[in-house]
Amino acid sequence: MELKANAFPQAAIIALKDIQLQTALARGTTNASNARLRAMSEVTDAEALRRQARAAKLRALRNLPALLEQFEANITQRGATVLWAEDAEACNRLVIEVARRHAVQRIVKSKSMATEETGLNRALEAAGLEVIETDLGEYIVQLDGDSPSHIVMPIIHKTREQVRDLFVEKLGMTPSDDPEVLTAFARQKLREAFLSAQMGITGANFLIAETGTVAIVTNEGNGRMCSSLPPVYVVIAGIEKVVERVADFATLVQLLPRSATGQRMTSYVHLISGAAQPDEPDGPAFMYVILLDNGRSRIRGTRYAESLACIRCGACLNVCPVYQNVGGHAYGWVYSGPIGAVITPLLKGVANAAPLPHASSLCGACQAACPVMINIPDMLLRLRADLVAEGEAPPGLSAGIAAWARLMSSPFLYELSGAVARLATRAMAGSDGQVRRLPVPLLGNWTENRDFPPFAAKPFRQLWRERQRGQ
Amino acid sequence: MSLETSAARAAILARLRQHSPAFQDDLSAPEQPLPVTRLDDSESLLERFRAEVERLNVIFQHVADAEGALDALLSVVRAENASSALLWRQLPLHGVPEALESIGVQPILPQVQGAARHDIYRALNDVPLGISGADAAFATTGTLVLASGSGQGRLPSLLPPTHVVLLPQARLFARPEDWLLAHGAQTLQRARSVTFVTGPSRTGDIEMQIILGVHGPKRLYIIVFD
Repeated sequence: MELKANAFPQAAIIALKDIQLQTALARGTTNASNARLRAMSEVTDAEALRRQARAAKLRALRNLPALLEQFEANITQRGATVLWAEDAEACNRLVIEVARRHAVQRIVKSKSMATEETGLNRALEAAGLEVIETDLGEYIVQLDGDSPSHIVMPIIHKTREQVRDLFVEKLGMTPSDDPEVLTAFARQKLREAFLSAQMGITGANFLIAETGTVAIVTNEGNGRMCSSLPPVYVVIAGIEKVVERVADFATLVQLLPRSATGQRMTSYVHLISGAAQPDEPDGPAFMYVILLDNGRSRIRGTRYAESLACIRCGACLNVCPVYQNVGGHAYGWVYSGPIGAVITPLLKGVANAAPLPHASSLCGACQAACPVMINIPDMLLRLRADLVAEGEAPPGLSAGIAAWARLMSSPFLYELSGAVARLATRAMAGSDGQVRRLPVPLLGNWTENRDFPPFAAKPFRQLWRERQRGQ
Repeated sequence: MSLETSAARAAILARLRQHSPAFQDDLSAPEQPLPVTRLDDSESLLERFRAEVERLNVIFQHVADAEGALDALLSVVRAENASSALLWRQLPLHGVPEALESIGVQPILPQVQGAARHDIYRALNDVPLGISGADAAFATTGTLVLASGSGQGRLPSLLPPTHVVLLPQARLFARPEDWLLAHGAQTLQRARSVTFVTGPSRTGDIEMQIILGVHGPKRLYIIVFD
């Protein structure tokens, strides 16, 4: 996917004026947040469980090289081939090579953020292979030449009418905007793909080192179709997905659905530990696991290592006042919302995603919702500091801060500027006592969408002096 | 091009070994992880399981014994108007294929490994019903555990629009972690595919409206017997 993160300010303005998008976002994020709160309120001790989940992920990140080797040894022993990819291009090349080796033409694929990151579909199509997204939302996105706008709800930005029009136009469906009919239509189309594909591709939610197991968490069952029906099964997993033990997985696999959709468990959790054995009636004859680095090992060596603990539940998107208003596409890449504002600059270079660390009010709702307690606000602040260090500060920032420092360190200048602001704002106030427009550069943006209250008639310092004098 | 990636492997592992992140948290692994779900000691596991699965639109039946389970299964098959069914060879209940044949329903034990699997899939795609056992179940989440193995294929719970599960009551555990800690590692080392099934296939992708039966079964029956 092409990186457009630096266009965030313009994309955000367009999103704010898109009424359909605003309706869809309000419904989607509110429902998902409420569902999460309900599901987390039922557990024995939400805070202690989040600490337990966090410790499991951080422990795995600390021991990552040993755990990757353990995972590799265990799953290789059961007939899977483990491949390592340094970057997106290497990963895509490996998938193409596996496809050629097994004379594959048609590929069915289940939702995977890692493959969005590597731009796998485009690479496969360029190599002459047919690839079909099978998650309902991702299928719609693929048909429309669109991109997903939420980690868990890929078409949160689309209405049922848009889906209807797409199915009518691209697939010749008899028009209906009933989600039941639309889903049944897609089921029938995708079933044909499942039955005939020679290769299935999925991502991974967790890799369990102790047993050499790939875990995929889905509701539709398409992940299970992709990993069970075609003779060749390929998993693409970021190296940060590995956890140490089954016990760690036991906690994480329950906090993930509770945080993502508010479910106690998703409809399907599929645990695959190798290709099918000869005495089994069905299952894939070949299994490949591609371990993708693509910048992760570099991030692990920095003070942003904690961002790799993310389990992609999307809870931080749903509670973020910025995401709730601009949606996922404005962030200009695969990962959106608060965690996207951290990960995109880390993976693609902070100068290539300069607006994202600023696309936050630092309210902390993301950290409070995160099942592994990632300190997103702290990392956003550090990224802002990195931007300044790289000379990528917003225009006027250093001059503004220097002026502020000068003002705040001189009582005379402080009182003088207060007096000017008081006189000016009171003169500009309308009949209702509010300032409609501040005709000052930068500050003028404030009054584009709201009024500005004028400064008080008497400042605090004056009130204080009068009180001291006993007036 | 080749599938030789040892250079990438060495480079990635070397980078990972260069730095180990220093996290401030206490990272010691708990001897016994905290249970996730609340469960009263007085609560009946079976009643909790029933409540959970019924909330997920599962059709639940509890019968006294194997004979009752066979009767319940046959009435589901009749109600679904099935003329054939995909099934596990290794069911927790004896005599299922014979009983199906006795009411004119063809039992099919799919075998696709090493065969022309795409032709077989096509031939089996219209079978209306799949019958399997379950290796375990979790009361607090309403989950079934289906492990693959000899005589326990993936297709009966995958292809047909209706899936019937025969569950001996003794296989019911309280919480997912109870089973995972006691039997998880051993089962994952034995079975190449283990699936937790919690209700029928579902999606909320279009305007968050829940629709059942996107890819997997639309209807799920669970018959519990002693």
